[in-house]
Amino acid sequence: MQSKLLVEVNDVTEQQLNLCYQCQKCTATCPVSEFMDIKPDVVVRQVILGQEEPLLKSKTIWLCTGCDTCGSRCPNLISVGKVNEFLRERAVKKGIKAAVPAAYAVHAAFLNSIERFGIVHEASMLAEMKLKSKDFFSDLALGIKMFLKGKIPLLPHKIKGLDEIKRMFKAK
Amino acid sequence: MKKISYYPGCTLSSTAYEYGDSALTVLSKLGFTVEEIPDWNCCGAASAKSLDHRLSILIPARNLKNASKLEGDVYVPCAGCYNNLMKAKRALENTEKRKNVEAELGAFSKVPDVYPLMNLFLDQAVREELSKHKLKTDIKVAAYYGCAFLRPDEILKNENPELPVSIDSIMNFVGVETVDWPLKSFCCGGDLSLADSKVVAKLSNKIITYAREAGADAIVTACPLCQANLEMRQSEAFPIFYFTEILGIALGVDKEAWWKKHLVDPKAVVKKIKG
Repeated sequence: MQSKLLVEVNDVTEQQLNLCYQCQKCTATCPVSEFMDIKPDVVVRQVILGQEEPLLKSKTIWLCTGCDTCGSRCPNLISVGKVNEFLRERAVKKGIKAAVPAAYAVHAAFLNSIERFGIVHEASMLAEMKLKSKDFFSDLALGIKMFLKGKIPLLPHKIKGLDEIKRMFKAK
Repeated sequence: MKKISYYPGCTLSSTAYEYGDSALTVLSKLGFTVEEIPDWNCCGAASAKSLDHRLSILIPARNLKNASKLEGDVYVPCAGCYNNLMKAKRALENTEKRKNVEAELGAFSKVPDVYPLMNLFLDQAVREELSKHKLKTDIKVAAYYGCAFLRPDEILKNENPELPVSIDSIMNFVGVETVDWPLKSFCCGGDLSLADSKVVAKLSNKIITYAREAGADAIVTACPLCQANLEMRQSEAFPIFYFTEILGIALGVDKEAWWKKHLVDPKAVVKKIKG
């Protein structure tokens, strides 16, 4: 009997997590596993067992960079990165606070920028991210250096077909 | 040379200005006709796929729709953009998923082919042209590919994610030697740069240490996020180039403005490459 979570994850990520035989290559090969609270092989195990809550509250799902090294090296073609994407979206939909708040703040500010302009406007996106994460001082000197190099343009530019983008966002 | 469709992506007019300008300068020098995709939008970067799977297909799919009005294949300089456009393309190749996309964006007349910008320079005619402009230099570089041009392999079907060779080949065409090293496709930490910079600092410094110990004087990449992370988060002063900047030097069309944009001053290495 497969857990409800396993059936959903297999369906959405188009892979078979139940094939996992716990060789732990994903964890061994993951460039950020040392920073994770639930290691990639345990993510797979917990999905199989239907243990959703600890996964949605984990740092792991927000620290995964989606580099897909796990997916390209898994003997059973399982990408834990794809699983983490699924779990991130699920956590947000369930209103569970991200265990790495800055990671959520970056993505939310980025998507807002796309919705407002059609393209990303770094200056306002960074400002929004800072407001959301309430972290105003990290990387301030670096940000100023980038600005002085002309790498962060001040004025936003909007695409012409912005209503097509707004429609995509509204329909969700 | 042929006509191509071009998807620059957001970073090429901001943090990766020097990539965009060097790419267009080199393409023009080689005689390519470059048509930018009309009214393109952001590809969704790492954020659409992190928060909303549906948007992560629809947002890049709009670009493919606009590109279908042009005749050329789509070439993409940015790794992240290439990755997202390919995911949208694969969705459009599936009858069921295509129906869902077309229900929101309207019918597609065709779905254009999408390639990384590097692939354009692997063409036989381009290779022969580049080989006429060999640099005479002892400088060695480490070709660094990152993730998004290579993985997921089954979606991108691009080059071998364990041992990619495109940037190495392009450097060799213009006489620049590349080193053998094991971190060509090791992740730099990607979009964690803003959320958790200590992770990215650790990964970026590891990449640079391995490149230097393999005998490289600089890293050459094609990914704007990798380039920014490696420059921003390193604790030494190791130059990080875009491959198009090296081609610009070889073709004699490089600009001082590119070097000024770098956070790690590359001019000492540029001088040595020029000999």
